[in-house]
Amino acid sequence: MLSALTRAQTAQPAAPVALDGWGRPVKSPVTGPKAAPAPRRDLSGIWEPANGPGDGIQPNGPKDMPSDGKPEHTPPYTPLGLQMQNAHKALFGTTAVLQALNNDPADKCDPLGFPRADLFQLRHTQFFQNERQVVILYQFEKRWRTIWTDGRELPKEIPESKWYGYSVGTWVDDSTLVVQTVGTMGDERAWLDNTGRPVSDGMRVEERFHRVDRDHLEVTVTIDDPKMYTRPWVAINKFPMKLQSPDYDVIEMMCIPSESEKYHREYGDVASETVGK
Amino acid sequence: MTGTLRSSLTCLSPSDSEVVEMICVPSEIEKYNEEYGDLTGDTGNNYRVGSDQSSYRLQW
Repeated sequence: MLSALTRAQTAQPAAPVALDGWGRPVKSPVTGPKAAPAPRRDLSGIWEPANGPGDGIQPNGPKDMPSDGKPEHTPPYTPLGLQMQNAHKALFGTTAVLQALNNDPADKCDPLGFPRADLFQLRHTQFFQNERQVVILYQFEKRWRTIWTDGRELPKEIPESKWYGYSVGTWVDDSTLVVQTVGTMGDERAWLDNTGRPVSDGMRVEERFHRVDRDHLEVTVTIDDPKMYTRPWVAINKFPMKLQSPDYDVIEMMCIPSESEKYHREYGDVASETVGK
Repeated sequence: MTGTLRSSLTCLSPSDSEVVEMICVPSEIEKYNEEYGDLTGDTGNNYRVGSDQSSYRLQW
């Protein structure tokens, strides 16, 4: 009896087993005592936040520019940018509002758009590429982007604004792809981040994907939007990602409008005291 | 509405054509329903829209 009790007191609870999209146990990401060098001009693979999934959620804004009230984390707004920021009623950040009072388009399951796809819910991210394109598949919303690496220039005039914009990429060295994106929605339909930072149709975003070695990737995102910000600013700086096992099936993660509506009806509006108790 | 998006599976093969972005946006659906959908008594695939009250059937 004592022995059993002792065992009960000292036994460690079984560690939860993480499962992939097929319900199979997740293998440890590919790592060794020393990672192999990065393959030349190749980002292929499934990448995940190196510090755990929480690192990429970024609920209070981009990891390196969170909305926390600190001056060094406040983007350099133009007067118009500040006006737009104040018009956005976000659920997170220093100016967060109650659920029923928010006007975040993503709260209705509208697309995150770009660059918010990098700056909120950045989870498993799969890269495919061929000689003309790099295609990025995002776990959240199951969205994809095409980055053209065939030498074309960005469009001089935007044919039509797109949620995920027009992207071209250039290898600046054998392990670093620099991507420029323009032509995103550029209005209140798409926010820059989860705290309502604004964007305009004049925004240009630079992403720098640096494959440090075979198993590690760093992502840097710089925002250049003269209508909203007086100077370019870095939203995430060398955000670390690590390679996932090649047989990992990315978990489906969708925003469902009817479920969101039900949540608002049953909890959000009540919690916000916008309906009778 | 009757066209076929044949290129949807070619993203991994060399091509210089980008697949057209086609995303369902819940708030736009909601706005459409408020402005047009509720004006009709039709259900299913029938919609009556436009100032001239012309109608069309969505083709699937």
